[in-house]
Amino acid sequence: MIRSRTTLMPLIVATALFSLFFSLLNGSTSLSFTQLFSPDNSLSHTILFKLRLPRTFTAFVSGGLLALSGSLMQLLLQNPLADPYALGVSGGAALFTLILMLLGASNEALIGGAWAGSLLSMLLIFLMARKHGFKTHTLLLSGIILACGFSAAISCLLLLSPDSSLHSMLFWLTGDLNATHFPSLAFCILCLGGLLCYALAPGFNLLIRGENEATALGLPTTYYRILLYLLSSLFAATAVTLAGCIGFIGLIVPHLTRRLVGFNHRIMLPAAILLGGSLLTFADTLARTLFAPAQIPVGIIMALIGVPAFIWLLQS
Amino acid sequence: MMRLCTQELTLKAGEKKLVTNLNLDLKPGEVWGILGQNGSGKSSLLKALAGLITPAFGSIWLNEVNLPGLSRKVIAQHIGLLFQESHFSFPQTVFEYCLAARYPHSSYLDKNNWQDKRIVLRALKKMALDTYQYHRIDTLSGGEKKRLAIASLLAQTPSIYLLDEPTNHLDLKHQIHCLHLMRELAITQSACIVMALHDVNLAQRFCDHLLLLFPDGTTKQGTRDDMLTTAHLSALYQCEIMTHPPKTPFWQAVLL
Repeated sequence: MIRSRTTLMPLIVATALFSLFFSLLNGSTSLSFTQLFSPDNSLSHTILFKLRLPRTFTAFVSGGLLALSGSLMQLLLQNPLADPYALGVSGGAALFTLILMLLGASNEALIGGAWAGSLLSMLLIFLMARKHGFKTHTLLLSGIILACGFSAAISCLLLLSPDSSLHSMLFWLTGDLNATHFPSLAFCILCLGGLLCYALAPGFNLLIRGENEATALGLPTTYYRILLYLLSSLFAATAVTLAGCIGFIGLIVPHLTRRLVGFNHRIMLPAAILLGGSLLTFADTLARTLFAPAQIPVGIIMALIGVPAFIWLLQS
Repeated sequence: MMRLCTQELTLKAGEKKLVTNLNLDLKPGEVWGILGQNGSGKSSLLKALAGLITPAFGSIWLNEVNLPGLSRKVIAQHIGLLFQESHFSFPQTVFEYCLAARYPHSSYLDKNNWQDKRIVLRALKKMALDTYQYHRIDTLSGGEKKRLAIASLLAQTPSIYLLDEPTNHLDLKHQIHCLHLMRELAITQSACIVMALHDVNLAQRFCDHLLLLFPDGTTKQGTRDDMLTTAHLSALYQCEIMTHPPKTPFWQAVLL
């Protein structure tokens, strides 16, 4: 027996706040709680404002974006196994970023490249799926085909690239949160996109019942599917641009959230954003502290958490 | 009071003509049955009446307004469709599933209010599912899922009910209960009921009017007694059929 547990929301908000403080306080140099509000020397000030704060917020925003994108993608493809990368958005971003890395481009150019790659794959799938009215199988097949193409191109690129740039390229591919500034644009996209999703949530609740039934119940499903596609791809593209290809968040968090708060998207989507953000922030803190001062890619930590968590979710 | 009409309606599946030049006038308070073989176009006709598929020719009118001229939401406020098979891919609770059916009556920013919840509970109660409201859909049996789909249709509160094989998966008790409920809606709320049925006995017992869809795409419509003749039914199902004389005014057995 399952009830819609809206009462869990305060607990989820508390988890999110705890993850933020946990991340700000811990790292290769630990800070105390009082130092957080009044940094006593220039070193802790630098650590807090130049390193921890941007990185923590980047992790939180990326996690939130990935969880939101995964929730929408599962709805769009009517498949609980879909993740934000199911439609090949990450492949395009990765290919463009790696090419730019190889050419020795600046950080800003890499971000621009990831955006361009994601938007290009979005556009290609959009054009391919348009003819068949954005049906699930057309979207899925177009995504798989495109992802195969990108994956082959990425493998080719990695094989051909010199050893000197191979390490940073592999690091980026497994998820890299070395941000140097506050993710303002991504934060705006998350907030505005989250609000839009909140407004559209009653329609999403209906879309769970499949396209035909949703149409019969008064939903303009084609518009909703296009919107779902654009929003989920935009969120995934923004997350990839921020932090590389981090897996599992977009797959596990929607499942976990539905189990905790039910299927009403008015509650489920904000809860998924908060839980996704918290999970990635915790994972990133672990990635920074486990082998400090060395860092391991957060994608590896996510896989270490994600694989057993998903097996548990699947078995219970 | 809503009235649904078709004018020279023709439906096709690929090159095959399902229904040809159908002129139908569905008035409030009437209970219609649609009979025909598999693939004769019963489901397609119901979907077309709900505006889900575009007819090859002809038009469908809801109270003098052409159906494509209305928004999906307005159509759903007046026309409810029960699908032959419903879609249950995510394990929502019974209550959550049913509450989504209130969508045509809510605005974008409107949360489902207590009135919606009351309507949903009443619908669940009518289909004897109120004790299951917090259960997950994937724990229900096939028949219970069908009752849930019917409860969801009741929660939608349309004035025209289109039901595609409503007795599918249901046991005898619930078949009779469901069809009684539909007749009651027609009498008490002047709802118009249109049901695609395979059981001629049930059609005989619960419908006032019948529409026969013949394999060649032609149609015949009329009152129950005019339509349920040996000649019509034999032509409809392309096999020999005997009808027994009525034993009571309400019951006439049709034997295949």
